[in-house]
Amino acid sequence: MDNKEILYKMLLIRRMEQKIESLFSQGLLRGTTHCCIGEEAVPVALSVLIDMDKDYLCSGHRAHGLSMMMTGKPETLLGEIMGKPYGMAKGLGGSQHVYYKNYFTNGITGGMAPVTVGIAFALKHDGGDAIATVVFGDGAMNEGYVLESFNMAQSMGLPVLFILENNGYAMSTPIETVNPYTVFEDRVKGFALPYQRVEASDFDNLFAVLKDAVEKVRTERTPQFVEVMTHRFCGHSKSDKRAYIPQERDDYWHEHDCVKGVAAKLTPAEVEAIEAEVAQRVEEVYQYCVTH
Amino acid sequence: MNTYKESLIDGLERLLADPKVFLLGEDVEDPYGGAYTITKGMSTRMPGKVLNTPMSEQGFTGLGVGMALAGYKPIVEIMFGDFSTLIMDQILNHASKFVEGFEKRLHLVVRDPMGGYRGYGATHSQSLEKLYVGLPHIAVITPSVLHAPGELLVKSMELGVPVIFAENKLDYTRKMFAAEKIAEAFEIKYHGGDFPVAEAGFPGEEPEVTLIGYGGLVHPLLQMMYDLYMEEEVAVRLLDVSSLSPMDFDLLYSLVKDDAKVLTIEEGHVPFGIGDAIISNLAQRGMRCQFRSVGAKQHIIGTSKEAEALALPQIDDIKELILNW
Repeated sequence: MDNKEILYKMLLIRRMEQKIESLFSQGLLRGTTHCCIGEEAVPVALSVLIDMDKDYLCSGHRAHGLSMMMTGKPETLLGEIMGKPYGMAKGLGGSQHVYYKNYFTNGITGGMAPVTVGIAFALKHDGGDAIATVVFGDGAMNEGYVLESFNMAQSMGLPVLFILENNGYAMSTPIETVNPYTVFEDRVKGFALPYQRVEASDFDNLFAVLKDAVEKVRTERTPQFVEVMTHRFCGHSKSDKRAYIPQERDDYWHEHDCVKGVAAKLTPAEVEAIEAEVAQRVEEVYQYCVTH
Repeated sequence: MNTYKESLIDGLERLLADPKVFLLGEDVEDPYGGAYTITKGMSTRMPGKVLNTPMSEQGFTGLGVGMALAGYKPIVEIMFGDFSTLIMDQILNHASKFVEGFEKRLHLVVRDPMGGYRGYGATHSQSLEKLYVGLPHIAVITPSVLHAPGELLVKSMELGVPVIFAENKLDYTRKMFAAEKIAEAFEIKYHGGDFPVAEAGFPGEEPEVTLIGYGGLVHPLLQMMYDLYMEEEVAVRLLDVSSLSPMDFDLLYSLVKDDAKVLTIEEGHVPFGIGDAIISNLAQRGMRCQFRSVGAKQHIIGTSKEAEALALPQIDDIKELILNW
């Protein structure tokens, strides 16, 4: 991916998420939703690192970005949220329960971690170099079966990549108020898992770390763990006003926004052209979904 | 197969011959061979197919769900059915949702040994089938001495939905009923398809009461029926259901619609249980008869014989109930 493609993908996620939030606030969508504004970097990186024809990818409630990156068809995500038959899960799953080929999401925090380890068990016995990847947040780091998954993956030696998107909050609960630390290095290393930590702001660095982890899982057939420090600029769900996030944290992340980092590597004219292209695509998606 | 255990072992070995089948659970490998020695020798005979897990029921059940999602056919063994409370989330909020939500056939059987009367106390004696019945895309299958567990196990793996395979711990020590001496006094008929209802009665006799039960109580109920018939000349018949969920209520109704007295019997707690559901469904189909249900009373299952008897249904009480009804 060149920087233009990276920026296009990041912005497509962000503008689609903003569109989805706006449709919810207008009362045009049913149920709830969990957007990933600010957390676009991991989905964009995985869009080229995961081979949907053989690899498996699982995630949880905050997976719009991954969904759009895996399908390449935002219509099937927005359509799903709108309950359309052409949605990813034929309108049955809504925002949280979707699938496409070997990509699956579910609405229970951390619940896909043991499932992904089981998929990795199957992939190991299949032979070949396919891998299983699961993406979850810091809230999931306190679900018992997520920790059980780390132990099983390492003790059974399974080809699974754990990606923790640490956005600092389990819904509204600040990470430091329910954990003895703000990063999970000690906990992860306690399971003897190879651990790397990276900030989402520098996409090239994030991409390099994830690529390295993917390649290791692919070739060594054993687990890897990457903790990605990131930030959510939107509420946990549609009704969340983010009263618990201090201004200084937002300020820091506006300075370290992954979108801003990539845009800085392009000329203002290039960025403007990409913004226009994305705006047009989002409008096309929206028009398709309201007319089909 | 003469015994329940032999049948179960045979079913497991037939399944494990498939390269996609693995058995995962606590202490299932040799030399221990499982808490009831069901898997004894298997890990030696079939290296890599029968695997010890850490003591992480939620985690390794989820592992089984993932294997099934990737096209494998895991058998997950829960050591005591009581521990199946731990796996509810993976079965209900994951596996069952994937069947319809992701349009996936999941081949996954959870072996879940239930039952008490062994003095093991409150957390190692329960019959918790009722937690899993009535939920979409979860099957609850109950072998007994009338329903060969090995046959049901092999068929369960083909259902395409997660299966709670509720074995009974006392049944591990029992013969299949056909191998019992008293069996020759009975007439046994099977109704329905892969997961039939077994009908046990006495040839040429009009039953005074129809019992509807399943699982580990079937063995002592058959002995009780024999005693009632031989000692009191009271003929009772038993319908033994092998699929609690989904249950073929239409079939049950067709078998009992002319009866005057129906007694449901379960080892689990009665309210909102299996018997209540059966009675409700029979009544909704227009059946008018006297209904009773027997099961565990509202106590935890104590360890002493006396305390256990406070909670678990007692065969003598069932006998008295029938005689005085």
